[in-house]
Amino acid sequence: MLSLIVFFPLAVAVAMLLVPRTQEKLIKGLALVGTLVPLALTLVLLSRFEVGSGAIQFQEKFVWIPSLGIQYHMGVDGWGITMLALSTLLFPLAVLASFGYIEHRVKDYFVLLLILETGTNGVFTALDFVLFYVFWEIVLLPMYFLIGIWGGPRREYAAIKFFLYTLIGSVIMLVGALALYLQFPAGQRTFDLIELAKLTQGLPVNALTTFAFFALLLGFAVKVPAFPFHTWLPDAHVEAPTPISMLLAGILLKMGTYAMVRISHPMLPQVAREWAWLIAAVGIVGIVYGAFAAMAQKDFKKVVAYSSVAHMGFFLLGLAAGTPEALAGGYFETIAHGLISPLFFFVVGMYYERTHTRELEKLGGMFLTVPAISFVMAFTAFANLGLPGLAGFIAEFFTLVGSYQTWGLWILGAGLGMVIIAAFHLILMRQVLMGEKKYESLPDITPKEITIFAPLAALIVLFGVYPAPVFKVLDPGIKVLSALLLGG
Amino acid sequence: MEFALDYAWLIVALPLLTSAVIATFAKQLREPRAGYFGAAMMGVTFLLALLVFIGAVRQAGLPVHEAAPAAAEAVAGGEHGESHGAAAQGAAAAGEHGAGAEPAAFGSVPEARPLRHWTLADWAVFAGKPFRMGLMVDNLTAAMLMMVTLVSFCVQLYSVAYMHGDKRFTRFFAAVNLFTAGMLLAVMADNLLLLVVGWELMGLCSYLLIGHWFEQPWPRYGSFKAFITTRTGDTFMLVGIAALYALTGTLNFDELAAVLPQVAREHPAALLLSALLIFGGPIGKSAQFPLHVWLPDAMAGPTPGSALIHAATMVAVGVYLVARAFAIFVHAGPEVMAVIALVGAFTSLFAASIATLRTDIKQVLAYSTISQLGYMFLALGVGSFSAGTFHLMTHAFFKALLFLAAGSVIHAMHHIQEMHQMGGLRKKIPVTFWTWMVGYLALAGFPFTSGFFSKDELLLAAFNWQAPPGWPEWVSKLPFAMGAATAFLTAYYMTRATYLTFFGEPRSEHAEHAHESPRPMTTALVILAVPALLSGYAWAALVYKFTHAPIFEWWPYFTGNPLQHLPHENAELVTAIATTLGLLGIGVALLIYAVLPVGFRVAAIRTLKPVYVLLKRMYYVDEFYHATFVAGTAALGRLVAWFDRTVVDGIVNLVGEGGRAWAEVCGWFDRTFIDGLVNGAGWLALFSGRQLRRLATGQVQSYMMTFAVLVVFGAVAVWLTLSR
Repeated sequence: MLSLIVFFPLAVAVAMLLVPRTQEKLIKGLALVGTLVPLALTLVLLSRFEVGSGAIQFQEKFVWIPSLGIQYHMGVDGWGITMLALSTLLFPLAVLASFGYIEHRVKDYFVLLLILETGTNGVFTALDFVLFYVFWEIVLLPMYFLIGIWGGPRREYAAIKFFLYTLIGSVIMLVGALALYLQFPAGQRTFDLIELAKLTQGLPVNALTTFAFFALLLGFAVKVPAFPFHTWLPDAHVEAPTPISMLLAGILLKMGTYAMVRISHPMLPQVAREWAWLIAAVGIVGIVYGAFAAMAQKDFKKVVAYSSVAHMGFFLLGLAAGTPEALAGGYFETIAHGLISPLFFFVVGMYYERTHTRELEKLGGMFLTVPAISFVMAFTAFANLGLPGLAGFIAEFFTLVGSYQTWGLWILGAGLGMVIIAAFHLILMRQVLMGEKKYESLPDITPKEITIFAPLAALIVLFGVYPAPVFKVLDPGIKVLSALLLGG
Repeated sequence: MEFALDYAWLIVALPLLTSAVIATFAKQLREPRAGYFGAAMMGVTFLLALLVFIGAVRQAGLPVHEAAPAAAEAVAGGEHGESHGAAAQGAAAAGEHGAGAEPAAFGSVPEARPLRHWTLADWAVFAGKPFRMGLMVDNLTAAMLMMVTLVSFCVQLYSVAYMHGDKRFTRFFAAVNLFTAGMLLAVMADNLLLLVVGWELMGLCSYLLIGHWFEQPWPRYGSFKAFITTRTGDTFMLVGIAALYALTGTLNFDELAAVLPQVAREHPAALLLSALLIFGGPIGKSAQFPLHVWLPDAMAGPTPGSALIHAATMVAVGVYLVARAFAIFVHAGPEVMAVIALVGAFTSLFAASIATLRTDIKQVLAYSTISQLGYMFLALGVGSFSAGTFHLMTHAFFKALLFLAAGSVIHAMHHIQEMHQMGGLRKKIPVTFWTWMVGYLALAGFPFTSGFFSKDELLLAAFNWQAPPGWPEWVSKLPFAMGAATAFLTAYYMTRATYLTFFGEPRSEHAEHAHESPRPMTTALVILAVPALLSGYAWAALVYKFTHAPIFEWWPYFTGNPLQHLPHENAELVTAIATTLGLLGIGVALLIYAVLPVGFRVAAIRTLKPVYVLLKRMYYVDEFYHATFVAGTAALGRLVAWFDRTVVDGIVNLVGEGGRAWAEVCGWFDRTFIDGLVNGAGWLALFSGRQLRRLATGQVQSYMMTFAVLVVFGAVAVWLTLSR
């Protein structure tokens, strides 16, 4: 089942190659099918997922290269299935958002998009490092082309920057993983993430394990992106077309956060404990830095991009704190952000399609011109700034609550960030929504746009009011990881 | 009436539903149906809340003279051991929880138990430990529910006429109903998190209502300022709540009450810090110094909205939080309580002094609200739970009334708010005038109005207060001294405002031709005037009639907080002082504005120029904040953005350039040496020359490859070194 979810989009992409370029309707239909089927299958998995069990579920294990201890091992637990669900949810929405927006080289675009989904779904389900790495790199290429071909005026610079950053990151990560792999005698060597973690948890804290930890962490931190490795993000977002921005913020960043809770931290919790202060500092600096940087931006998309940097800081802070509440809050942030930020980028796209500008100074009085879209914008902005009753607040609240136990008053730094986050969202709304009309009349929201808004908004509200489903799914994993990070 | 208690959760659900219906069917409802629908639904909610209140009153019974109220309370609470299901949020399984299984922690007085409690046992879970979420009704809540729904009902009825012709008529009613739901949620919350949710929901609606006319600059500015200022306080509160959770492992009020005594013994300093941080929230939300600056600018919204939000209810939620979480503050130690008392006392005097020179009728009321909220904190801080909550109730009625009356004046004056252009309105708008008079006398603490009783009780508590051990003796005198001075100033500025607005001769065309407001508005005024006049007196009289108990005993008994300190010494003296000061304030204002010629005021201003300017400019607090925090934040934002572009990205680009340069070197090497070799060795040239030449083509792949190779070699080198 998991393999089907992962490879179905790829199969559709291959099929699509056979379709003539001119058959755009068929191509679009195929893209929708290719992304909707994994979503449906994931929903089936969710209904069969055993909540409260910490075990890996829906496992698939085949021998691949036994001499090197490499397997084809797939499976999900709470960490994985939430991300898989997020990924399979966002792809159909992104496909929908592409209709009418991507008008040249449609076939190439959707082929790449489908390959991308195989990559992301694979990352969240692979339990063998080599397999994981393959999927991790698969994500890179389509993304590079999607930004580089369908992007804005500086797309090449942005695409190269994205590519180099993440490639360097992943190569370093590979070295880190190899270093751990080679620590053990030939007979014991394995790339199985679960087995390897059991071995590496017993290693002493020394120069090598520290090196391996930071090599892994660096690779992931670039993806998250954590300060100071974040500057590829604003450029990539500004140049990327709207649907790609949605995926970039919604899923690609989460590969980094997922990898931390799956690989770097469970494998080397002893090292993570030693350096937790550094990760916490990076997180808090990221929150404050991202918030301040966002406030000074003049491009709508950059504001949203920097707000991602700030929000991912909450995840890092929670991870560094290691208490159950903080881990749950931090990981909840990745889910909440995975729902809110795609919606936010979509909002930017809606305005851009109508006004052909993203410069904040040129927008204004939108509440009067396009009330429905502006309602969506206000909703999203309040969700993003952490309004109680919506998902983002739950995440930030529990991150703070849990982090205090470890970091005490240092979290006032995160609090400062929260005030600034609120401030720049209000400035944004004041600029874009309020004031007198700048555009006499523009078409308001379309049914297609409502279709994209509605599921995301519904989940944002649901998880904001009743987060139990997510917390319950995550809890067994959190219990284990928290014990690892706090114990000893 | 007890059956109503079982459905008390509907009191939150109905306004929420109403808001959703109005927002969804805005086009179908339009004006005025959206308004009537909102008001009618709120009327139903109020009736339910009234039944709940009556039910609570009947269960509580009446205080028996000189007997310990504990016995009656225990009987009342004991009937409710049974489960009530999880109707609250329509969700699944829930268990009856926390209806006071813990033994009494303090002497013979048991913990106040909720009358009803709906709990969602598995709202969240952390490492197997459930995090509960629920709603509850206890006596204080029951009273608050009734107050909030009544005020909200009056405001909506009034707004049907006041908002006539507004292009966002439906939006206004949707926001007001959502706001009311938020307040009711906060009031019914059984834990701090849910209280904060309701709290922020109100913050959102406040933002929407202040910014209702967002085309104009002042509402834009006011809404922004309100949200950010309160958010600043909220952030401290969130950190404080985090600290509290770290100490106690729970945020539920009943569980907190059970564990706090022990926590207070074991970690006094940490609890003190946590309580002080939490108090940051009320400072922001209830507009206490130094975060009071947003409230005057919140007057940019429509007046009925101001009446509901920035006078009667939302700003009072900070007070409510301190009351609801009274145990936290009491256990955190007398120092924390002293801080609360002193912040409240100082704010009340500070804001009252500013109010004496405001010329905009809504601004007078805005500063008066800040001042009265300060009173409530003063009362809670000196340990009188009942006085603080009592004043919260009475103030809500008479301040909502005053705001609505002011709105009626503004309506009659064609949206002029300057009192200097009014005058003589007494005869033109008699209903407004008489209802205003009720509110005015209550606020001024005129004998036998509601405000008189609540103010008297809180001043009595302040009079008998003792500063924490180790603090200088004169501090003990501060709250009462400031409170008494405020009583004088309040009577003074309200008399001034009343005289300028309603008495004398009309001073403008509009004042000359003012007409009484339409029926819905005057009806709302009359309804509110009843509790504004009687709420203090009626309750006291009721008790007196049936029991001959001391006159103020019912409310303290009804809200019964075991942790409060209720002194009764010097009651007559305090009443005499307060009444005299109030009457003196009225007299002085009348003397200055009605009796003495204008020349006297001009001369007084000239003589007291520095004081006059200081008050006129509101102590320059706004200017100070703009010069420091606002400008500083903006500058820091620009600095960070510059740093990001230049330094961080500079390094990145430098590395990129380095890669390009390395590629150039390779290309040069390629051309000079390899190509040289190529000429000698054909097959090698064909292979490596072509490969390496690519590096210099300036394409992505080449940089990428260079990097990848470099990094792999570097990293492997590091690793090999380390593993040795």
